[in-house]
Amino acid sequence: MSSMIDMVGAAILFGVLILAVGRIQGNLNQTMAQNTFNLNTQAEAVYVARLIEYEVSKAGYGVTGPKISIADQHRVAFLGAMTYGGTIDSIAYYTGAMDTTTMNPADFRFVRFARSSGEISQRLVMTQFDISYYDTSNVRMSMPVTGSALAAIRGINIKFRVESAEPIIDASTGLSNYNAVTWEKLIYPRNLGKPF
Amino acid sequence: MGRTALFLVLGLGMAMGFIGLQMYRSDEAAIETQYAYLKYMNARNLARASVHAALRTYDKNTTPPTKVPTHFNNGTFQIDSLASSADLDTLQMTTRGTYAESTYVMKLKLYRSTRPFPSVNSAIGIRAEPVSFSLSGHASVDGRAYDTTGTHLLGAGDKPGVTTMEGADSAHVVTAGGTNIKGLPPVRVDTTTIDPKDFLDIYRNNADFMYNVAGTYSGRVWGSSSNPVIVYCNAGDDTTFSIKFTGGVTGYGILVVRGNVQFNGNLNFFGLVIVDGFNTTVSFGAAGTPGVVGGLIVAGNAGASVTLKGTGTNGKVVYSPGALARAKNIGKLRYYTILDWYE
Repeated sequence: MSSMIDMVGAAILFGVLILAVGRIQGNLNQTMAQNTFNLNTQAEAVYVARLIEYEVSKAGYGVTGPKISIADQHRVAFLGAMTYGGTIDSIAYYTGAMDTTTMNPADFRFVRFARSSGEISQRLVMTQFDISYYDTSNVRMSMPVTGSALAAIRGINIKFRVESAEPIIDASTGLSNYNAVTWEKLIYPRNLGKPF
Repeated sequence: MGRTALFLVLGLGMAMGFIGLQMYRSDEAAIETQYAYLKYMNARNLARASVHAALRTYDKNTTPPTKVPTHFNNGTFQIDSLASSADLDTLQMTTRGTYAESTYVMKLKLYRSTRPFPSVNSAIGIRAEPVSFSLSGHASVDGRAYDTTGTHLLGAGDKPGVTTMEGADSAHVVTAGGTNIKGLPPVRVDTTTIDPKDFLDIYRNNADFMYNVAGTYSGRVWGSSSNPVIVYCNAGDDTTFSIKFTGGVTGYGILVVRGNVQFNGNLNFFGLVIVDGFNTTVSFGAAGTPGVVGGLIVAGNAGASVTLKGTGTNGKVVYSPGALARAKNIGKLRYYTILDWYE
């Protein structure tokens, strides 16, 4: 009889232990998932930031005449050589179609177009991509910037937000949200002020 | 049962360790991603700092060194290559910023321009009206074009000796100067003389030598022919407050004189002298060498007073287009236009 009680007690204790371990395992998995999403969003944000900085800073390089052709809140297109003394390319960034392949309801595709390589529509779980423009007096210009005003652009402010593809559920509160990284920078492409 | 529990605990420990390791790697990767971006940004900022440092060196009329790393903000920057046109109007440079293992290179081509300059088309251009003007002793004015040292005539490009804004002032100057004023013609009316007041703030803010405390100064050397400078003497409009220079004064570049300022000894200035304000007395006391080689603009409120005195026998204010050009090209008064900027 006492042996039976020992076995039942051991089974209960084992069950409690298994439940506790399972709970810990679940929390750890969730934290790992959160870390992974965190890493992904940061890596994607850095990737886009470096791409934009690299290319926008070359806007107008090697170009005579008009350097920016489209300038509105979600689109920018400019000319510039992307390599030292290289061929002038036409580069554009704009927001693409909503991405329905993720659980994030707000993300859309980020599109980079280059005349040399064509259009690349990327799934980066981007939920914001806003552009504003500053003139020779460093005054924010009204959008869209068109016509002769395009030649007055000296600064391009780009802001984007990249989020995780799936929500992260807080184990303690049960609330869910998306990991996010927001990047914003006002870039002054030096070649936009050229006198020719 | 005991062994089972032991295996269970060991298994759990291993599982926890594995999960912890994965989390650590994930955190480490995130930090590396951020840090790589930080290194990239710092390297870029250092490359830009190199450009700015090079231009500020040019402002001091010297050429920045190449291949010399400067340590700054836990990184280094340097000019890899530097080429300029003979007149230093066009600059091509390659700069490099290094932070940790990140390197950022900039290649740029700049055009150096000069700021607008209050040009004077005579030895003395009088912008104030009316003006109190007198020459005494052997002071003289010569509008013929001299070289930058004021010793040799160029034979071309001669200007009037003195220009005034009004006919009455012109007659007054002719009477005061007589044969001590030479030029093509010696005196004439020229209303195009630029009012230098718009330039005075720039000169004050960029002054290499500033005198704004009442007192007597002697033995001053301002710059050199290869490194012209800006000198600003501001005595204000209070006639009881005065700045006096006694003894030898030699300078190159731009000399701004405001208010009651007296040069009672030798004054040898090569470049542009702007006299602006009341009761300004410029006295030349030495024989042989001209007082001002370049040009002199007299401006300010009505009633501006300029007195040129001299005990010497030669010209005291002579026109020199070369000396004026050097004053115009003072490094810190130049600005840069980007012709190409690759980064």
